[in-house]
Amino acid sequence: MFLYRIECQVKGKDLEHVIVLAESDLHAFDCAERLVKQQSLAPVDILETVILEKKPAKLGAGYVILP
Amino acid sequence: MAYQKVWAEDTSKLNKMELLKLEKDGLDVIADVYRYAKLGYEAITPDDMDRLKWAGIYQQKPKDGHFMMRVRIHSGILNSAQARALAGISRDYGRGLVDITTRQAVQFHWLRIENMPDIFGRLSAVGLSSFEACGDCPRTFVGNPLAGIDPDELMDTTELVEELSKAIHLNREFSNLPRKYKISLSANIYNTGHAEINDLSFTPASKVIDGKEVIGFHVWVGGGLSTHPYLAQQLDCFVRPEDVVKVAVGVTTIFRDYGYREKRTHARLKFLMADWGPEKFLEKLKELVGDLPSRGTDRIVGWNAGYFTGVHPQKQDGLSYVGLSVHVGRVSADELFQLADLADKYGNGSIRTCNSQNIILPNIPNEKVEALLQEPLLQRLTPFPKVFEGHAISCTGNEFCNLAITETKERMKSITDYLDSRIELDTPIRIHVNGCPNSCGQRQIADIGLQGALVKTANGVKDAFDIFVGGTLGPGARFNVRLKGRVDGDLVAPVLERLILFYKEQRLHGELFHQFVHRVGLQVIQERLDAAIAEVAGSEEVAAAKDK
Repeated sequence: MFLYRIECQVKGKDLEHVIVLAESDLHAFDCAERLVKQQSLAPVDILETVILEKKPAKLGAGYVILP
Repeated sequence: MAYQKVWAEDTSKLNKMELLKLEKDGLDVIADVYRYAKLGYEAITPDDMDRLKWAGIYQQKPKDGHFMMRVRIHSGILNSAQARALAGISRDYGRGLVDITTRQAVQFHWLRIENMPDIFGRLSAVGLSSFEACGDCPRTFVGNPLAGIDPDELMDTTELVEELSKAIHLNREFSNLPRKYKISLSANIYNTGHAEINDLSFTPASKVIDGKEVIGFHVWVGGGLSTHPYLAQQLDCFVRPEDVVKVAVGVTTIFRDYGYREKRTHARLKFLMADWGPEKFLEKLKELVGDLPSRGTDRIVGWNAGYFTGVHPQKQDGLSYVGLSVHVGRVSADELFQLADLADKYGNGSIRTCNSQNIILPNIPNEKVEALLQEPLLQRLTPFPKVFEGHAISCTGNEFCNLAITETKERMKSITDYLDSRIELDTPIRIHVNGCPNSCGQRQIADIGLQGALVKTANGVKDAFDIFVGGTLGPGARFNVRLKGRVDGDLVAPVLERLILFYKEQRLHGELFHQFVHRVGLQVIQERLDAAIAEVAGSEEVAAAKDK
């Protein structure tokens, strides 16, 4: 299990920063896109999702998101 | 006498790894390796799996019972017997792969726990060790691979490095540090030891003391890369060669006793240095080691980035060293056996590894150089590489690394092959690639740094790379800077081609790429990158690049 740092580019919106726990890279993509879609009332058009970093999932693990 | 673990007096704020180290020292896992070798991989406890780093081994991706092992090679100095031992381990247990690292060490992959006792024995028999090549302890020492033969060194540091290793390595006084700890020691005036990116570095210096010029060292503390890169700062002191061990022990003691142990991500010596500053650090150091003379004259005049390819005269009359290019640092076991044979046949058996992931065959009588150059092995490991192939650095990448997001070594080969086939250049451009932000490929110090990301679009999942420009060490050291615009992995080569051709057309005489970047300014480079990305995206070269 890894903690992933992901960027998601949604059409017409600013870049979304997403942190997800996932078993694999593909799983992380799915989780991130699901979370982004859940955040919006209107349907979203995801243009690009990018895994920037992953680290082992341990208690206390996390990322500082810079603007 | 055992020292007092001052941080253990209140364990409430220590991170989990600290508690684990207090429970059992990392070095104690080495004895357990022999037990696990009999019991098998499944018997290894999670805590001991973490401690195996002190034995120099990590689980490789995908954590199915195979391990990576790193072997310490101080200053990169090997003899042919040691090279054969390394080649034999790779052949018998490591599927024939040998990777040279950016710290002059050697890494194997595909090892199993049951192989370890035999491997430890083979290493020990030739005076090598993997112990403390990883873990929260002093790692392999980076140094001058030309030590003893270098026309550009102020002194031969070989014995000093050995003395330092005896004082520091496998010493339980220093086997429980807050985090990894990297030392560099070189007397080469072209900064072969990459002083600014190590936790502790000694660089060549001189000082007139009592009317006599004394050759010694300046001390740099608190450098490191990773996700929070930081250039080491120089202390206002001059260290005589005979005081190097004392000072190194002092700095290491400060790190051990005052370094941060609450968060793993805030534990490297650079964080303590950032808090204290060089004045306070020196004050504390003098409390431990006594007074030191103030700074003398820096004798570093430039930075050669650890590159020595070609045939060059040694300081000994009649002898040359031949620097070989090892593309992205990977040789086969068979090639390493052959290198050992060549070292014996043409030289005195010595082989040197470089932090540029290359190899040097030293001590070749001048009259034998031509014959050596005709050897078939030197057609691949050539002393005269093409510009881009000869200046390419790569981390392990997701082939074996659990943290890497992208593949790197094959990608770098395809990028440099493409550039070499299309651009003729008379100045080096150093391209480094990292498969994640953790910087094992040292992308921050590159002329052009590439950092991998994994991108999912409507067209599927692909490797992509952020591009950074303008890094250098030595006088004027600075890390490279990220440009906007992530580039599809298959398009990196043609995009860089355009950027580099712009440099080739616009540079001043003798101007290096990083110098050019900072003269014309990042905005100009960014505009060029934007144009290159737009142009390449619709060009026929896309298909050509993808075919490479």
